[in-house]
Amino acid sequence: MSEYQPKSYPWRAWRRLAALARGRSVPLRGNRRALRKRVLARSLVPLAPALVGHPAQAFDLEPRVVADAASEMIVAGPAEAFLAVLGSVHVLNFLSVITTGRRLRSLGEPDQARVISRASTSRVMLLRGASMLAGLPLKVAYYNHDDVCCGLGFTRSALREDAGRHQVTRDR
Amino acid sequence: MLHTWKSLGLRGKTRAVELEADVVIVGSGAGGAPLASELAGEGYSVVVLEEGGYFPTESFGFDCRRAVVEMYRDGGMTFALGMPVVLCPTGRTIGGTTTINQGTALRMPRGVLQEWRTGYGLSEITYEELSLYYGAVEEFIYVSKPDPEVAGLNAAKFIAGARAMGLEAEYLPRNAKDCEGYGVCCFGCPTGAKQSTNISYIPEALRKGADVYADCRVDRVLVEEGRAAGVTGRFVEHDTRASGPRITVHAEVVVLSCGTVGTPLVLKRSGIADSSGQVGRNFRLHPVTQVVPIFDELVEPHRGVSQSAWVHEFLDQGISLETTVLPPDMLTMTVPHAAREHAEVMSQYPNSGLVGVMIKDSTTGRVMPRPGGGASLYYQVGREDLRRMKLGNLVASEISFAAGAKRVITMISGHHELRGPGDVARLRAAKVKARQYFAMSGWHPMGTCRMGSDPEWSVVGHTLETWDVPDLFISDASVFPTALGVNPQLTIMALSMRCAGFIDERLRERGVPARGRDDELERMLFAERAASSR
Ligand SMILES: Cc1cc2nc3c(=O)[nH]c(=O)nc-3n(C[C@H](O)[C@H](O)[C@H](O)COP(=O)(O)OP(=O)(O)OC[C@H]3O[C@@H](n4cnc5c(N)ncnc54)[C@H](O)[C@@H]3O)c2cc1C
Ligand code: SF4
Repeated sequence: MSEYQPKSYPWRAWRRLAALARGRSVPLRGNRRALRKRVLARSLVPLAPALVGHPAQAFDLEPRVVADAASEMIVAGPAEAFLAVLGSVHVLNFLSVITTGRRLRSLGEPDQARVISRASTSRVMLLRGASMLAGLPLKVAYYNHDDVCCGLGFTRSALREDAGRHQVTRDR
Repeated sequence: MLHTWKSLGLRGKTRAVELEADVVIVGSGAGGAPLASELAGEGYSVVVLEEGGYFPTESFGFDCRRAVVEMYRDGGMTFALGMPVVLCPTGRTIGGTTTINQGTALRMPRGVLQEWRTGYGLSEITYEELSLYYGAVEEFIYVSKPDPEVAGLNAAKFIAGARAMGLEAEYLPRNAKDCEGYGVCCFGCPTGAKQSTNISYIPEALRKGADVYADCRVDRVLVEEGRAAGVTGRFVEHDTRASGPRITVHAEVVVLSCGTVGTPLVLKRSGIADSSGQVGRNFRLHPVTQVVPIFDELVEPHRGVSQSAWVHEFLDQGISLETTVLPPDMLTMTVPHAAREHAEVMSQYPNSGLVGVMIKDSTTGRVMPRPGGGASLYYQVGREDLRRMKLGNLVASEISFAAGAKRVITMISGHHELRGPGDVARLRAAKVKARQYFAMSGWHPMGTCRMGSDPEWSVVGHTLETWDVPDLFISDASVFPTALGVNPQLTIMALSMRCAGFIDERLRERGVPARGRDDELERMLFAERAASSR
């Protein structure tokens, strides 16, 4: 059993009870946002390379770095956003189980990509939505990373320096 | 003076703060800031309460993730539920959404005001009168068209493509002074070129003696003897957004400028001004989808003015096409492909452009308080709007091909990659359903406290005072009775300036002392009103 219990899960009380019945207490560590972040990051890490799609230039970013940044963004939003992304991961997992017999996280990256592509081009809106929602925060986090931006010609540090030299005042 | 969580040293404090003012304005965005500047200029004591924090220009950068977490409500993840889901981001910072908007500054089309006058009984508002306010605002926030050299290649290609098709395309007027085209207006302009209210009207209000409190969320309007008498709320800790000490401001006049999502929440929480049952209804948002043209040559979509060119030929059909430049982390949101296909499209980022298709929506949604705080938004794109959205996507794709694009990415499932006229024809022949859109966004929420001539079906009259609660005014996009069809900030500011006159009148009636108003605009407005009443 996981030791982290996101407060907003409806089955939180049930899991606590089950743990207590086995004579264990389940500590709630940190605040709600930190818990959500850890839960989300943990479920996104194994899917990050496939959802972002290993670009041709292969910027080697640690999946954990991308998943952490994505989770941080999501938990800054309302609980619904957190639940929607987490739910989307579960939907993709479900699709994976019925099409390959295995959970998405336990597939290799090419197979994961196949399942995700299938979801994204499906006629079923739920599947399309899930592949979009699970992937979006990871993609934003990935393309937000300085190294990736530099590779695409968007060099933040140089732009920032340049902008510093062009400060505007309201004087006429 | 500007007061923040830090400057007030509120950490660990619990003692409530009580203030008195002539006018308290809640929200520092397009609706609140011009009003604060005007009224402070009259010599009234003005207090502005803003839920968001204060971020100086030096802190603005090129980082999407940081900007949305710090300066957008809900970390940028405000959604309107429906099919498809519509992302509806708004700002939560000093300057409100103007701090993180694209800077386009357009006057409302005459036809829309005519619709307001005839359909909603707002005959007191004339275009001539509004033009005076537009003029004053435009001058103050430096509205002008961008230098084509700075506007960027995306805009140049779009204009060339549109003209090749015989369409009229132009550069968009914007509120920027000496803009260098860093293209990150949505993260806060790093040079201070964009004249959002945090740069323009708020500093002006401060200079004229207003008190602005950042990190301060208003929960309720206080009503005494049937009249608005102040507001009460709490300071919020700058970093964690946790609630801090209570603040209460007693005032002669209360103005809510919390935006289309925020204002109905405060009214609902206060349980006032809703005898019409219209608070939170009539929610519109100008649904937007984007097309991404990919060229063989370099476009550098991050270089250029954020929003710089448009085709306005279809405005009477409720369709507007505007180019946008975006850094990679924002462009990625408009590419619906998954996994490797997505990465392949993104690898073409340096050669990509972006065109937004915006619809003047005819359907409406709802904003309601969410149990536990925040708002729930509901919005279903209507059939007629879907037809127009498809038409807009078709025209934008055709313009892109005419400009030399090799392929065009759309947000429409089944048509998300167009490789030439054949694919465009296939899209034209297809019936596109709402569920085929991967997502939409709505950057211009409007209409949840609509203005009208009758208390039966409107929340405020043309003076922007609520029908039910005297001395309570609403000055933000929520008062629009219909969508505008063009970017709204200039109209919100113009109506806010107009509202300042009525508040001034009210305070004078009360005998609240002011230093007096002596400017050219006042005299011209007086003459204009006298002429139109003749
Ligand atoms: C990304 C983006 C780009 C845009 N680009 C353009 C553009 O190019 N041109 C254009 O014309 N428009 C643009 N807009 C829209 C435009 O900026 C808004 O329509 C406009 O700023 C709305 O003004 P407002 O006064 O209604 O609300 P806002 O400007 O949002 O101001 C409301 C303020 O009230 C505060 N507030 C809310 N509730 C409370 C509370 N309870 N207590 C205290 N404070 C509270 C909020 O924090 C906020 O600062 C854009 C919007 C977005 C999101
Ligand atoms: S394009 Fe760049 S310089 Fe110009 S107003 Fe926007 S952020 Fe500022």
